[in-house]
Amino acid sequence: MSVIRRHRWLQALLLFGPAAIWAAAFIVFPMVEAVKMSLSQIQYYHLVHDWTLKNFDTFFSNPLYTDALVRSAVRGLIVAAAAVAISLPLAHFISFRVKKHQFVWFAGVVVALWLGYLLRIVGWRILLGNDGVLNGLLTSVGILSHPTKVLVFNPFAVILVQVHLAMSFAFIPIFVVMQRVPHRLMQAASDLGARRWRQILEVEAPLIAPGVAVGFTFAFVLSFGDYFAPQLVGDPGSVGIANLASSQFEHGLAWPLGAAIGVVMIVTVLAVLMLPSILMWAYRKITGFRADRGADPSQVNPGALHEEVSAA
Amino acid sequence: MRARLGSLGIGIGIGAILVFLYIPAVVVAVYSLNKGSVMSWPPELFSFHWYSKAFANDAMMEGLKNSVIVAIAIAAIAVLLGAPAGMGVDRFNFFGKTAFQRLLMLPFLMPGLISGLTLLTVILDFQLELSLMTVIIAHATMLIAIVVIQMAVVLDRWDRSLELAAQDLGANEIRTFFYVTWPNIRAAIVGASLLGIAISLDETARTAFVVGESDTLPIVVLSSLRRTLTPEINAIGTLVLVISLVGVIIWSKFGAADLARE
Repeated sequence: MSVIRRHRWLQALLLFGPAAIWAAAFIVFPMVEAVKMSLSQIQYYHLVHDWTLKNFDTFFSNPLYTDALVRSAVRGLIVAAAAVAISLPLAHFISFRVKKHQFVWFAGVVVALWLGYLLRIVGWRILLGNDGVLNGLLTSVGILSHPTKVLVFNPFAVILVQVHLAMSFAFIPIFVVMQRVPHRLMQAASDLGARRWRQILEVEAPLIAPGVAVGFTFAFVLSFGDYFAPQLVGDPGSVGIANLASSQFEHGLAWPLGAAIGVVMIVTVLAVLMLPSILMWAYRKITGFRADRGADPSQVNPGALHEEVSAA
Repeated sequence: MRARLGSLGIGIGIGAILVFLYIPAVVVAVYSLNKGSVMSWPPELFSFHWYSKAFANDAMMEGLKNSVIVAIAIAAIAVLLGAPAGMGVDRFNFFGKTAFQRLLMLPFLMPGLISGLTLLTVILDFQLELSLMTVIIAHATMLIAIVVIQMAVVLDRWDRSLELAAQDLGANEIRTFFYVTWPNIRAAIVGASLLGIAISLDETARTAFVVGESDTLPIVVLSSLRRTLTPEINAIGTLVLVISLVGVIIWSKFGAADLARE
């Protein structure tokens, strides 16, 4: 005991050690292995580590794979934009319009998103299916004469379902930053004559920008890495990069190509995840000289503002 | 007049968003009580037929059992590894601490597919056996980050001089931990474990890669979905939803009580 008490580095080692070993074994090492496998090939039913770029060559020279990569990226952007576009008014409404029981409203949104991932896909499929709820409803009120097949198993259904799946990732970060926007600041802008849209654009928007960026990237990553929605509500034309990655491990011995697709996905996702911090850095660089235009999110201290307001 | 029209418009917009959010859950819950197996309009209510069929479905019950085993195992692993690391994050500053935290967060931020795929390459390369153990490893790796972050957040808000006070009054480290530190971090640990269990019961993307012969519940649901839609899925899904919601509500009462005592 006294040895541990005397050496702080020993304390740190004891606290961090187990988690660090776990992270090394099950996060870092698998990534290294995936890269290694992507540089290997299967010969005579055996994995041969011969440091070849053949799999990446196959990937980038075959439009089947590159098209799927582009399709997933474009779909990710659409899904993220839609999820953010729905989350913004909802979070704004709960944060600034709802006066009582804000938490109940927030919980109400979270509960809707609590249903399991696959179950949410099931729900949409029952709704949109060829003999599903919407078809039954539309034919029974006479809008359609017979059930239509255009509702499900198409790229739009995939986007719809993925927007719903991404809502929890987009809404929560946006709601959290909006909660931190001081109401007094909006009130001050209003007192100084700013109209509502100007309050939102010049006061609220710079303050919530980091949360919006996080929500957008999370939603993008969810859509980009999802291989269930294209499988369960899409058509053959909605196959994404994630479907191709997983199918290489399902049938036959195409693991090295699967690993290569995985590596391409890792690089893409890491780049996207780092984007918000790069953008924030650029934003600070550009706006640093013009601090009077919009507040720097990291510099706002609601407490200090409160003091200033009450002193005035 | 214009203002009233405006707020009517806002009301309709927010209402539409809430309908969009709730539709899948409502549809699943309503059709779990459907009499027939065709899920069309109008639903033929009420029947608990599909619930009893789900309970009689051996594959589903086996899946549920496996999911519960995995959930309990990963909660234990994540707390044992994550809680000390979370305390470390609060107590120590060293070169690379931020990088270490980001690394732990990686499996949580990356698509589940990536975690599953990379872990599977290790298993294939070393010719290891796929089992419930590999599922537990995949899930626990994701949960550790949640525990570490929760711990660090809670400890950051807490005044650590209380620990020093206890030691000044003659308590040794062990007594200090159990009488001073533990009551303060308990809520964070329980909360993070519950969140992790909820995520684990639902996790499919990484599980599909590393699952062996013993399927977890979402994998059973997935393979049945690939064949056909059956209302049994709605029944079991509604049940899991209700149980996990009740769990979270009970915890939020306890958590609130814990916070109120501080």
